[in-house]
Amino acid sequence: MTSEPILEVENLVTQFHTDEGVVKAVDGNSFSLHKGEVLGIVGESGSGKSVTAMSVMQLIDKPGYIKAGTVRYKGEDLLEKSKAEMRQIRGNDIAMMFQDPMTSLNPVYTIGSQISRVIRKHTDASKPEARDRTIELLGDVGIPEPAARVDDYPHQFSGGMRQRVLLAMAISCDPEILIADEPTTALDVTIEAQIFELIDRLQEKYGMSVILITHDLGVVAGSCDRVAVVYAGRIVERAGVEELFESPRHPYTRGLMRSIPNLRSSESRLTPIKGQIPDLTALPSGCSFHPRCVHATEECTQRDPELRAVETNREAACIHALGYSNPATTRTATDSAATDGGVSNE
Amino acid sequence: MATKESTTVKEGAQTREHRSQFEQFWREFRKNRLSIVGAVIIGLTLFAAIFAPFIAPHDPATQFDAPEGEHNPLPPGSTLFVEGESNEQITAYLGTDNHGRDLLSRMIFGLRTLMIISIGVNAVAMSVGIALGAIAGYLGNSWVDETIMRAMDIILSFPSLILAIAIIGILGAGTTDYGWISVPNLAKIIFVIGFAYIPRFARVMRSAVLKEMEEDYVDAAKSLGASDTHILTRDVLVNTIPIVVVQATLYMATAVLASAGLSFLGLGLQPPTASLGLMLSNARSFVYSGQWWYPVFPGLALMIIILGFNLLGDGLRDALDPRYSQEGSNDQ
Repeated sequence: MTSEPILEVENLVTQFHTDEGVVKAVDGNSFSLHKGEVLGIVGESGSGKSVTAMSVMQLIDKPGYIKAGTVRYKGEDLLEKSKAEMRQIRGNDIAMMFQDPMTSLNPVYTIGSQISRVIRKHTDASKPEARDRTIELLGDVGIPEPAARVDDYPHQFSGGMRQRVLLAMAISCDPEILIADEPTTALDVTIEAQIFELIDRLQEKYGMSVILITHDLGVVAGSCDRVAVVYAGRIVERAGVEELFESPRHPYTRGLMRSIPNLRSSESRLTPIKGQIPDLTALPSGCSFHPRCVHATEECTQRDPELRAVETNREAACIHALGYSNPATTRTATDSAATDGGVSNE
Repeated sequence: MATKESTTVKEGAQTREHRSQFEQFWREFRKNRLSIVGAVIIGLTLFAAIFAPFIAPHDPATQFDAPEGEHNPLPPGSTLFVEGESNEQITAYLGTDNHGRDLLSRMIFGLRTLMIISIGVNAVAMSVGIALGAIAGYLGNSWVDETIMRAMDIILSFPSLILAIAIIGILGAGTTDYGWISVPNLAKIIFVIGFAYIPRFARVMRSAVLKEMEEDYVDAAKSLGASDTHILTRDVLVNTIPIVVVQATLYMATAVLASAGLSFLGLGLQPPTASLGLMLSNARSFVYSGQWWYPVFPGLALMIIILGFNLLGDGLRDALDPRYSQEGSNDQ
């Protein structure tokens, strides 16, 4: 990972104004994505994974807004781009794939016309050219008889096939970055495996970088190079995938791993993480995980640990984590960005 | 994650025939016999309206002479004479009105005015209502939305017929000459009723747009770089067509009733125009004197047409989009 990162997110803060108060959906997250890398963002429902992705794309709808931070794509801050410039980037440079394939396609158009539309929007391809490319893409994503199915409507496809269509749509303009937001949540397990296999293959074929958002650690283990674990809007641990599974440093990551079935483990019961994700309008004092943490001490209720290097190339945000040093010694990108204040996007 | 080399995927093995949205709609629509009845009624009405001069047995305005010793209105099947030519006879299949005009012919021409009015009313209400509703929905919860929708609420707070009567009262019944433009009565009626119906379309449209904007494919389109106007016109509006079509069909019935109501009150079409409402208005003085055919046939015609529109509207609603079937029915 020595190359220049293609996407650098620094100190991203996205909030939602609701009647109950300000929801800090993403609270000062930083991460980077290198070329050809698959970054996993893992967390529970409501931990801010999707909002992170939507913030990168700048598709946060009211009452949400990006309060601070920078999203640098190839060195340029996307948050400073105009709406029209952003539209050029979406789909062309950064494409996104959504959770629910059943509702992410417009029911009144054929899938071919929906894919061609994206191609024609971003390139100056003629109609027949776009159609040929569409058929080629449908073949790429493993749709049998693509030339015959290009004129079918979404309802004529199964869920797995639709997700393939969405994938074809997302990669139609050869984007640098593909953001896959829980692409298989709505699908069953066998199809899930096929879709990830496909994403892996296409990622190599097109040389894309992928941000894979999921709540499934199994998926992370199979597909990702690096992982960021998110809890209550914050990244609590960041590491290479092997290191993470080898020795998770943050108690939350450990909790997550204990709560999934393991074929090699002799334990008959899974250990859940007790409690629930906190109300994002009223986060607990100190470390926001402390009410659910088995290692929580007095200090945890007062001190809010920032994400800090605990080893080369791995970071955690827990004062009890192995290698977590005192504030004065190591400073990470998170800290320096936090003092800048960042750009507001109101 | 190279678990299986599965290039032959079985998920795609579904029905292979290409079925367009229309074929799908037709299959659904056909299921309900009543909607077919509605479609037939409206189809026949439209046919009669378009080809009125060829279908009507006589001229709707010609007054025929009753035979010696009898007086108009004459019952169905009566024989009358053409004025001035005592040897030329005609048969009035549904009887005549008090001026000796053939009831059937007047009814057929009445259908024509009726259809012009109800289509016109819907065209006015739809074009303005859809535009306003789409803008309001697209800019949901902004001051533009508020302004438009509160204005709609003000219009809606008056019963539509009362509002129409009030506007006609201000403009005056009959053709109005404004000096630079002369507005025919028919256009005025269409405008007045249409105006009263604008909020209904605006409301339906707004909620439909708001709902569509929440759909995942709108987000998906945005994430792939589609612009706002592109999304509104290509994704959102297209998906609201079913709701608008259903609303329009159902409001055709109310427009028919409203125009007949206005004519009945003497504020709508003016004699000698053939209009079912006007005929009913004239006929009401004959209800108790035994000339039953005069009020009954125009009244029946109105009833059947309104029934037809409602059946057709219900059928369309069920066939076009089952999702909206509950919302549509409690609108009235």
